[in-house]
Amino acid sequence: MMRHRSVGIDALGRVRKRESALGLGDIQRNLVGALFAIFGPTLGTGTAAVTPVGTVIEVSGSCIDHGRVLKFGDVVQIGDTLDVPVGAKLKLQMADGSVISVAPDSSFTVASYNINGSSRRVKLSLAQGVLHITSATRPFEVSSAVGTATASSASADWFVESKAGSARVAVLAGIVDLTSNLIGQSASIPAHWGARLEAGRAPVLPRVWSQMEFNAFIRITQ
Amino acid sequence: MKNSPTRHRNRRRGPPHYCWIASVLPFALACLIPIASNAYTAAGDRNFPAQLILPQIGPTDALWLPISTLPMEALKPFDPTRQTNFGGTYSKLITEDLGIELEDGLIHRDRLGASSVTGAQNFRATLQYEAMLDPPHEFLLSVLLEHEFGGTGDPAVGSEKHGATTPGVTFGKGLGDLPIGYWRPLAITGFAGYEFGEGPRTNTFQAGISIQYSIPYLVSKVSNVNMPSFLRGMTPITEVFFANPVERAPDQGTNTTLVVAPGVSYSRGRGWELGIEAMIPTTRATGHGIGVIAQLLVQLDYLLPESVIGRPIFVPTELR
Repeated sequence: MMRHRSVGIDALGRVRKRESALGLGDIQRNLVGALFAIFGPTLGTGTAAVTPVGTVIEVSGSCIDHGRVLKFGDVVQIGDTLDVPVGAKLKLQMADGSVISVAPDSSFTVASYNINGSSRRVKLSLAQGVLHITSATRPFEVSSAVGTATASSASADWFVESKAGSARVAVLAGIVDLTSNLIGQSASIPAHWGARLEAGRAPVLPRVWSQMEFNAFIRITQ
Repeated sequence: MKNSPTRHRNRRRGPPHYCWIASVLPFALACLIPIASNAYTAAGDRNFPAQLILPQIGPTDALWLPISTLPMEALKPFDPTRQTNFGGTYSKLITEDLGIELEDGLIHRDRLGASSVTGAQNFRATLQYEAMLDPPHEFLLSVLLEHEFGGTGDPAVGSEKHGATTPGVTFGKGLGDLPIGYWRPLAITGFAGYEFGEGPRTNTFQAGISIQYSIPYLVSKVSNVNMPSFLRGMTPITEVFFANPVERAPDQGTNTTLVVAPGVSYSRGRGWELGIEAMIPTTRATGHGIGVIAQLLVQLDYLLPESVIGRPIFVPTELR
């Protein structure tokens, strides 16, 4: 079995690298467990503004969070705005087990993050760029200037792109709804399908996406 | 149109071979039209709705169930006065670009001076390959090869003993890339094919075109026009199907069939689509009155996207 570099968290909450013979799924589960052990009690308890919700597990280039250059193991909090410039990449492991890969030339904000109790909701605000999200919480929302994409299945693997005047969603697994901010009309997008939304209009009818189209998103978020 | 004894006598005057063609062709075409089937595919942001008469313009994973009824001109006892078709087509993607369709169904015929009869139509299989796809220009083109297996249906309802093979080409073009404002939801689809009959079955040239105006495209790509919710899923569509036998008796007049089918398709992008069209025959050989065709399309790739039913058999390795 191939060995993977993974992330560990020591008793003081410091992130350290380690070599492991575990698969990626095991690594993620371990990480999530560690994060919950450390931060779980504080999630959704009124201390949202200072709650760490994710950890940087991959970074290249000068990715910025509130003026600070992100490095491997840094923690992301609610309210943080992350800027990934052209030529840079960023991957986050979230506390609920979700993984967010951020394409170059992207900017998004962690608007809210509540993964406990009945009011579970994760909400990101994507100003521009592309996110590849493997979401493990429902609903997992990404809002843009023109619409909101919401993973409505318990787990989903999907892309969301925000550009000036339009948004696109493409789904590899699960179901994601794309809703127009202005008129409220939505399209439900299943696995291997995608849809576009333009400002002030209804979503375009979803359609099957080709391998080439998915590859374009996969390449920029890998 | 009344039965014409004179015309009936004239038919009998031709050589036996031509008489056979003249008597069989209209019924064969009547069988063909309602089941020749439909399309659901897309090029860029253009979703081409399911067609009810023309062949599909691209391969897909879908199931469609058309029902049609068409009055016929009965010239003598036992001729059909009305034909009703109950069809079913299963379309399966082999790869992203290559698909196969399997079609079968039942034909019910009311007959002049005789009891009605019900039987199977001939089984058909079609291979279709999407050869060109140009999303920015909302254009796609496919080539197809259809084979009708002769003798697999019931001759009592007009199913041919002899099969036929039809190579053809289909295309779809949306006008959304043109600077034409509220005309951008317009799209045109087309088909041309040549049916090679086996044995004594005549060869036939077939062609068709459809013009459609997509309200879903209007509200999503042009302008969010305020209209009732149910209208937002409508696509008015008119299909025209033409078939002309290559051989015909000199004194038979034309055996060309031309049916014009105006109607509407309804879809909200939820994995199903409903279409209904009138079938207006424009030649005597086509039919004797206005018929109707309705069709339910089930998009298996939408409803079962992660099963083998809803995905190509050979899935690209890059996709998980």
